Amino acid sequence: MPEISFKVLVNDYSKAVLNTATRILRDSQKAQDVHQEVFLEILRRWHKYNGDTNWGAYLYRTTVRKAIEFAKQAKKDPPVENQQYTKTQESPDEPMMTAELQERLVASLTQLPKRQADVFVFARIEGLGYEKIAELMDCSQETVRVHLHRALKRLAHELRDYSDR
Amino acid sequence: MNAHEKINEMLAGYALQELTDDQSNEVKQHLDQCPQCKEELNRLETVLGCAESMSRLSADNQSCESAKEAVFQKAHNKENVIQTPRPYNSLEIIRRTIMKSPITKLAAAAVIVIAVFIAINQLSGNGASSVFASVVEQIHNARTMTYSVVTQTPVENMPTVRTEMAFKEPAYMRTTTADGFITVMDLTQVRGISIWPPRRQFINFEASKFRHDPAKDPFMVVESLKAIPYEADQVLGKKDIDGRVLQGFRVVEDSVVNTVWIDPKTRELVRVEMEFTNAPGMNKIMTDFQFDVELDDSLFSLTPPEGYTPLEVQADVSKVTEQDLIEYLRSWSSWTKNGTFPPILVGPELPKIATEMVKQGKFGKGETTQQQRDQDAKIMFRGMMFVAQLPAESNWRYAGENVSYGDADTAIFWYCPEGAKTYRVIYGDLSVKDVAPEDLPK
Repeated sequence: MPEISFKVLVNDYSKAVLNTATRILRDSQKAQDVHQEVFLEILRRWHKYNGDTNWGAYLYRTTVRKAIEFAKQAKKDPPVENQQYTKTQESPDEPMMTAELQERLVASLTQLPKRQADVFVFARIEGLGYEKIAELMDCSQETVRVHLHRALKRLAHELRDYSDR
Repeated sequence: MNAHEKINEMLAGYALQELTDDQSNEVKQHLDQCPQCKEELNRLETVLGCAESMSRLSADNQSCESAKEAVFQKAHNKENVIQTPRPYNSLEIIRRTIMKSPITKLAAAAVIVIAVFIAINQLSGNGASSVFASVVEQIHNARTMTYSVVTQTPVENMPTVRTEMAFKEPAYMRTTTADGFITVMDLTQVRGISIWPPRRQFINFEASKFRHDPAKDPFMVVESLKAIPYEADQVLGKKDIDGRVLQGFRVVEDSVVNTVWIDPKTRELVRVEMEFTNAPGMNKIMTDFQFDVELDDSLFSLTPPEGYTPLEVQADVSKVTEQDLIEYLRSWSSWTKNGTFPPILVGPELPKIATEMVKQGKFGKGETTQQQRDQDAKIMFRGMMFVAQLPAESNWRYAGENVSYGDADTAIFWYCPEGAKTYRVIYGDLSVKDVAPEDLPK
């Protein structure tokens, strides 16, 4: 059994899980759904975890994967206008990044091989370095680099219509 | 590789600011005189800019509090905890592809890869076992892997096939079939080579052509393998197999029954058996797993052995043309009741879409002979191959969904042939015209 209580785990990591899900899904309700699934899944398996679990890494991986699966499923559903997230920075000079472009980027992410998609999210949306990602994904930094390059090229190809405008 | 190709390969690194000063300067100089690379860089930067805009989002405190409260409420009343549905799995589509698509019958080599891909997928699942978990951990930590796959199918012209697989990080793959056909893919260079020792022949190919199709990308096998969770579905009893007492784990997924055999003493993965309930006679056995064995770099060399000559590829697959695509479009429209073209042209979702269309009664084709089905599959395969082989620079587009055969005013497909200044445009009546880029449909 884990050394901490489930309640402490939820209290300690909720914000991080919700932030990651929000960045990927850009929808407060869907992010909360992911948050709920992530923690309830842990609860169902609670007795199987031991004191060695690195909760930060485990939750990071699980949240990113689940959010991408949600996005994939959401492609089949009508869009929901419910964006109760906040921008931590506003710059009037930044290029106009439309919700449509973000939507397309996430839709394209769902089509990538899982590890490519995960690496892209960790590196470019979560802002993690190669070393940290390699640790999270249990692979070499070179593997991370290869995945990121492949993901970036593929996404650029998928979104070519936007950059050509 | 010429200077342009070299710089093009460096563009992602340039956009990610990973290059040395010298490399950056080299790229900059090239960009001043190469609109194509400049455009490619613009695309890469668009993606990075978009991702950066997403990285600045965060959840508000109110959402966080209500999310926590919802979890505590559900946790308090465990009866309300709903089983999480299995996540949508792209491997499932591929499994359906092999089970249902006639195309795969023609692409024997691709089928082998898919078979392995599926085999590995069957290792994943739910359940508990420290033995199983330790095997998975071994896979996760492996820097190299080798294993054998034997595939038996009831499909005509697909006899029992044995393939030896070898993988080395970060992205090298080598497959060897029983008849000695060797394929090496080096995805750090996005290139590959197939070698046929009996005839002392070889063929080079660009691995990027396979990257849009998971079924053709052997590297995804390893990606999938590395993504296995530390769980199994069901723990079975022990059994003596080939003189070893092994612990079994069964995973049943839809119509696939998988049995994974692990030596509980050594914690080695020994054997994986698969049976397909809706395809009697089809089974796969993976054995001879080895992890972290020494694999010399020469095994993954893209240089053909001395004395080998370039292989003349079978015309049936390689020399596909625009006309093959037209025949594919013509055939599909003849199968549908209202004469419409396919919703999409290629991709693993196509069998799924076709299945849905069958359920909706959109196909008007009655009983056909095996010969006719084989012919249809061949036409479809060649048409898809034409599209799959078009490079990204061709800017191909498909707009045939909901368009019926005979609509001469509607463009349904267009692409720019290599080196051409005009596009080839196929219309709904399957006529073809050369059109200037500015006159293309918007």
